[in-house]
Amino acid sequence: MNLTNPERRRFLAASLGLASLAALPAWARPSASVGSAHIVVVGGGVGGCTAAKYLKLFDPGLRVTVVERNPVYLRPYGSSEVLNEHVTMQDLEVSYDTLKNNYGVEFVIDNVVGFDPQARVLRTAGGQSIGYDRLIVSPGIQLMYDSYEGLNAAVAHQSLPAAWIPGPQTALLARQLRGMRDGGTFVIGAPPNPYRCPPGPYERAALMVEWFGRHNPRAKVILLDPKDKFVTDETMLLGWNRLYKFNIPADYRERLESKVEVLEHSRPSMLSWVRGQDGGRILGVDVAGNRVETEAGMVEADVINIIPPMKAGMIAMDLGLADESGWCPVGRRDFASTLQPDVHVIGDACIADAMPKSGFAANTQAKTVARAIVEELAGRPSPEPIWENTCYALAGTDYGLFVADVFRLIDGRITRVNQAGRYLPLDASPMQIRLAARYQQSWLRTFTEDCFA
Amino acid sequence: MMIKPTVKTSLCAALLLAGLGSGTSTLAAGHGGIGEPAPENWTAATLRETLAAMPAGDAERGKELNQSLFCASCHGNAGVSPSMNWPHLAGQKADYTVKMMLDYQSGLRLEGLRGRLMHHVAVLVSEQEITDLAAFYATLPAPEDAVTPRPEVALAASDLPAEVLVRKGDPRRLITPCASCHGDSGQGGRREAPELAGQNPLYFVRTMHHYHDGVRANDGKKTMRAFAYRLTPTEIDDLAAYYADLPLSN
Repeated sequence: MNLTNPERRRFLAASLGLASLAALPAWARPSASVGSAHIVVVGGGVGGCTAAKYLKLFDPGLRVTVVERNPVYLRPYGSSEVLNEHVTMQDLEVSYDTLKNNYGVEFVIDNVVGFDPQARVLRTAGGQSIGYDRLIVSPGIQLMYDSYEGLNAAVAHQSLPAAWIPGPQTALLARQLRGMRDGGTFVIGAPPNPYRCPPGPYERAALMVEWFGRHNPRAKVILLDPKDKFVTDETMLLGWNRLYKFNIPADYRERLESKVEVLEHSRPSMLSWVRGQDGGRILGVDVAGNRVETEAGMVEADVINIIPPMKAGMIAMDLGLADESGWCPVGRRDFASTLQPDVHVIGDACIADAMPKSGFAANTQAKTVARAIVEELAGRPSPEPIWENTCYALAGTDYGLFVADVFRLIDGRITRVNQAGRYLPLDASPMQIRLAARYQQSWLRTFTEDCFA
Repeated sequence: MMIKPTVKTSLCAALLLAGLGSGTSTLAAGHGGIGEPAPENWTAATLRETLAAMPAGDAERGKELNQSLFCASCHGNAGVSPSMNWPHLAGQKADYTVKMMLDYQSGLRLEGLRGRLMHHVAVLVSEQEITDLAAFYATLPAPEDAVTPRPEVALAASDLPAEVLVRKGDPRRLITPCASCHGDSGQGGRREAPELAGQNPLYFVRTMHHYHDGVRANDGKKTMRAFAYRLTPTEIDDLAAYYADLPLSN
């Protein structure tokens, strides 16, 4: 057995979730560099920073530069917990200092304004020209506010926050919810597929019902939805049924009743879920009248939180990386753009078949792309990637649930390969449910560490 | 985030007993600070009595719990961690595993945020579940050739190689041979001394440094701190490599 063999060590570094590099003794760090190429990453979110960190882990000799417009990252995952006062806006802040100081990742805090894919050069608003050997773009999403009559970015920023990309809108929505009149109605508009964080709108609704139960017990939460189902729906609905006296829709109830006890509540829940088949699709907003028009009619509201349809972040459009679908087509093995040479697109913005638009997915894509680039530069074949995703979600502060999947490349498509055991079991014990909530909280911390520290 | 540990009543009694038996308060340096008073450390007597009062474990039930409580996510389906970050539990002595769960429960072992999740788990499980899990890990063969990196060690002239420290110790530094507590083949010794054979070297090294710095101080008489304090970093690396590959050489 030769465990000090550099190839073996490289394999180890690539295949295992690494602890903080700074925390690793020298012998557990990856071996010496094979190249000095310059890899530039556009977008300092989960995907971009994970890619930058793992490039340096796989090959410390690489020069890695992240171009990002904001000096401090606000993590979107777990950001609904600002609304229920579980965390503050400051708790969402993630510093780039560890990546800079401990990993040697360079940061350029600036906007990209020019791109020459043939010469492989980016230009920034601050006047820098940044040449690269490979470009990784992790642009995230943009929200298409204009999809609904009466809604636009200015309205959202001023009075009708989406709060799906954390920032001033998150703080605004939190203030609105705290100030909502006694017995008022909070309307959440869930987005159509595909969108970032599939269980997120349903978790947000649940956390706010729980919060109102303590702070505004006559309040109502109405979740308007163009869809009829969502990932983790069965376990989430069961949580609502147990925690918020929510009556599960008949079609779900029939499926669930054979496996688990479903409670029948005689009085209406604080929470309503208006599905697409019941007219839940939003048509427009009457901002002055505080009303949302749906296919089922007008819904009166006190606080409105519409999460609009999404597409790839604006920088992906600017760099010519998105197609008419609004998302970025890529080679499925190495996430190389099919539209621009020497560019890889990862995270929410790319088209990744069965993989959801989640931070976890962006993180695992970033690692496989970092590996693919390092191997390609070294003239070695890169191993076949295997991707993972886990979405944790809360139905209440102490009520956790999840979906956990593994993906492989099958016939050129990213395909889910696990079948059973994707979700928290329907017959999970109270302890398993509590434990899942603890895991969710722990994941927020350890995941941030894996991406940024 | 508010955390309200709900230690099971019978364990409260056991820990209270532990507290009464110990004269000294032992707040570990670098204690995670869970808002609880510093837990009292064990004496030989309180540990013996507490372990004796635990229900008998069932390895079959433990195998199921390893999945249903998500232990396997970090510690593996067969007690071999799939990650560099966590200890292997395969083959671990049941008494040691039980003690660790009780220590996580009381906060005696936390190691900052790292141990926080184990604290959350430990306050939710019953005594029976603890002993079932411990029984399961004890039935598993010690890890061999687990895919964790091994230290590359260049011992200084004044360092003693692991083999010597394990078998003979170092009387000049009052270091008892490791084997006297952890066994000739690293299989663990009486009561709390854990099995070390096949252990993840990264975890081994981290643990020794935690003992050295007082971040970990759940050993009754601080014996491990005394040893860790006198060993050099390269000796610790060498011991980690020695124990990691011990099952292979046996």
